[in-house]
Amino acid sequence: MDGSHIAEIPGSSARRWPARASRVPFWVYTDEAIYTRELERIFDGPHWSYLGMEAEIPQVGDYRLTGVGERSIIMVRSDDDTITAFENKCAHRGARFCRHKRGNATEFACPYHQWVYTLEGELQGVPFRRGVKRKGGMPRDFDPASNGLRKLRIAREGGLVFGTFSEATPDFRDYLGPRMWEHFSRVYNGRELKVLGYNRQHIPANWKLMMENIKDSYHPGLLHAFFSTFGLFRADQESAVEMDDIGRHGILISRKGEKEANEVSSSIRSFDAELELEDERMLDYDHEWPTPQTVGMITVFPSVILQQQVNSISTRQILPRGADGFDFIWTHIGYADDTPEMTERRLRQANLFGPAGLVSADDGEIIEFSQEAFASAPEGESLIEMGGHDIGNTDYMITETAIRGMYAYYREVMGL
Amino acid sequence: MSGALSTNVDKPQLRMASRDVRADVQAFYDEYIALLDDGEFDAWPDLFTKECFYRITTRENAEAGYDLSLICAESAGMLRDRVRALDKTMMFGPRSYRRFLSGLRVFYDNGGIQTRGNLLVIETLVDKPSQVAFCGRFEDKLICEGGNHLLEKRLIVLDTEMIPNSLIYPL
Repeated sequence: MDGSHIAEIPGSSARRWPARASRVPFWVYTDEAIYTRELERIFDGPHWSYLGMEAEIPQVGDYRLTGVGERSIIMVRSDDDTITAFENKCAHRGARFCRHKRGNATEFACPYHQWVYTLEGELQGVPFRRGVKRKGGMPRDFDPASNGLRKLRIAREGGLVFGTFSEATPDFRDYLGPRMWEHFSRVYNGRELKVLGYNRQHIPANWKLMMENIKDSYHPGLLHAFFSTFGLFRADQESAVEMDDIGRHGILISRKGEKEANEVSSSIRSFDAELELEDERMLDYDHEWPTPQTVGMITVFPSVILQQQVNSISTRQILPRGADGFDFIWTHIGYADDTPEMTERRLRQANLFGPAGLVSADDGEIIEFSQEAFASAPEGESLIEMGGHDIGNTDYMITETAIRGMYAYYREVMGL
Repeated sequence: MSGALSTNVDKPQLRMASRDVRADVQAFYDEYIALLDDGEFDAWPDLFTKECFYRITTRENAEAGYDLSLICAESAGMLRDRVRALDKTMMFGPRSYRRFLSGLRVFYDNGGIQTRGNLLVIETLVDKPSQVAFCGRFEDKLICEGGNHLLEKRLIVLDTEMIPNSLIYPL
């Protein structure tokens, strides 16, 4: 694809990608027509979106609301070993009928005209389908079997549940690719998961900025002074950035060190060698992983970040809400066979993450700052040249290669 | 759906405090709020006992019995660590919070005090309109030491499950 390609975006002026691939034009974060195309080609397209966890719906009839793009999705345990997911949109007049985030049901009914669906999403009942006293009712050719709820294909791996509307989406393991599958199954290794709770935040920034943030290995030791100060994530630590062969998924890998002042910390303005924690239980780390790495931050394009940072494990689901905002849903987890001490450790370390996180609050704030500038300067470009112009795996942090990887794939899907 | 709107409050089988005690406790909260609204966070942990428990969570977690918090501290030291991080390591846009407490109820509890009430927080960012950022309730335990009240436990359960970007300052 050359830099002169001009996309025909209805309703907006022609959009020309900058000549250098290592630049991202600000309009990809603000243009409504681009955003509509993202919903069609990315979220409704051949990609797996994160729906939730098997552990959230253990009993038959257990359901929870989740989402794909802007669509509301019901994920339900429809049989002992079957999970079904369908759009929360009545086949009759389209009402978003399920209003509870979670529950247990034997069937789903739309309150408007009481159309009833099975746990598999099949249309089971239409009141007055034959009319009353032979008057009215649905036409003879109305076929309930072809008027169920709109279902998603499901992939279940390591306790997580993914869904896709597209028949073209490859099997989940092929979608991740062998390298990312290996990283994925390091945490999601078949041990039963246990939900510790949820945090939800609306971030007034384009959804791609959160994907970029977690692919951006350059920022953690700089923006997050808490990380660098306490040695959790710093540029001089053993680290790596890896991607699948297409560049859409990525992982930042690191190995924590100790609190120390050295050549690297002295070039971090925000580093404070004097800083100590009064109650150190928050950083009490127990190495529970098969390899020396202590951090694995995975981005599964387009919808989820799989966090393992010391003993804190979470999924962070991205639900876009217009070009200029997204809902960010954190599900913190442990393993079902964790000791009480390990559960306490994970809950304590959760103070670093989420909307009030000593580390993560920084991210929501900074990408809001970015979005504000993009909205006012559509001619602008983001510069992503740390580590050069190429896309490839690295054994160092000071690179933006994984962001370049995502945009190479993004341009292909979007025709930009 | 009888339980759907319940806020899951343990209905305290406790005796309502006297008018004088209530007035003292109200005065304590007035001071607590004034201190936070004025941004005097360094002094905030001193309003807690050494081994205090402080937690902000959402109704979603509280009702499901999940222990995850937005903020959780198991000692005054952890509260001071959060204040230190606010001051030294966290990055956020400048803002002010103004906290509004209503419906205060005060009960006797084994020589100490339990309270219940509502909390509303208005957030104002630079050049932005003020907005209701957080709405919820609290369930606290206080002890009285040398005529001064100290918080032994403060639990805030937010109805606001979708946080408007960040929760920066203590509530």
